[in-house]
Amino acid sequence: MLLCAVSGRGDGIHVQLVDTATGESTEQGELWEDVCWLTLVGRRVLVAGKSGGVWVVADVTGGGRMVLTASFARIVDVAATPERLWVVAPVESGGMSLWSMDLLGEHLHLHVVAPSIHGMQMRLDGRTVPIMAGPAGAETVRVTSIDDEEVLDIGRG
Amino acid sequence: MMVSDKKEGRARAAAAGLFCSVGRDVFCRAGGRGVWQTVLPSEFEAFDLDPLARPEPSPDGQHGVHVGVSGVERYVCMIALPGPVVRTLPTALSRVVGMAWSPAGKRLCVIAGDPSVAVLSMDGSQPQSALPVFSLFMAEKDDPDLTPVTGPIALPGIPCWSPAGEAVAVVGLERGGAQVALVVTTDGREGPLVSGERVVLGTAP
Repeated sequence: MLLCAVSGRGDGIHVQLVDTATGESTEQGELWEDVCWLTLVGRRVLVAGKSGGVWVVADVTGGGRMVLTASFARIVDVAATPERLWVVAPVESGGMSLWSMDLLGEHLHLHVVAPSIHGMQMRLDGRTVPIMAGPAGAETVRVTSIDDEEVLDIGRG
Repeated sequence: MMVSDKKEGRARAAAAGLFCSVGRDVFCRAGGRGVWQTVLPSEFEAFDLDPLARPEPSPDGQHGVHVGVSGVERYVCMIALPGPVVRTLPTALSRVVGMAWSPAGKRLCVIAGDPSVAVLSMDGSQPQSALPVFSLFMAEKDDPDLTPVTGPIALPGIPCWSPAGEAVAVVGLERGGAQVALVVTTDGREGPLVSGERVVLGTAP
């Protein structure tokens, strides 16, 4: 199975679960104005999309739309584990913020705000997310790894 | 011969690892807190800092892949954790614009900017200090070239593996300008899956 977001003929973006063997697709919930990320976590379908002019991450399993996050002006990056969701989004003062929450949309936590956050990768214990937080393309790159509530500076700054 | 991938989804939990490359230095943090080693392959000037060529730790917890820079050429470099580069694919590429390991790390999909897409299969589950053997499953077993396997142009982006690891998809651009999800399966099938004005692929969790 493969999860895709496909734009139609001006009617918005469809989220589809496609059987790679047969090509048959199953629509996953309502249309979006835009979609930047989507994933399968177990049987759950999670989508980062734009609706009503704002960006959210929502669980669209079973055709519904359960919004898991606050509204963002833009979502830059998302990662998910069976337990947690991690979102990189701009902040009003400039720069980027890294948020995490559980898959019920609860226990929202702001981990770090940095001039730039990129290269988010999920460590597969599901509770840790390493990111590169600092000026992108700089000679030195600060690497931050977040283990639960602890921020570890493990790079060169 | 394909390596069975039926257990890919269950192997992820055991893996961990983080890479960061700065210039010619590679920082590897594998498993325990603060365990780092530096890798300096002398034949390269630096590691590619293009976001789509970023270092990718394998879900098997034992390998990773970097893109090495030598002049205007790019090379796909496999490393073992923790340790030096264990295999550099000999094909010089102009760009690498997306890499993704299959869910258990048995295969690697590379989108090169030439443009071409290759899926590399790793033979042997415990290569460690010995030189591991990688092969293209879409080509001859010992052919190390990154051979194009798709007709339309593959767009830059992170390839998307199916949860069971039996198929991988990239977004391609058709002649008419439509985007299409191109799928390559481990039993050798390839072709378009869905198309539209724009296509976004799901990521592996």
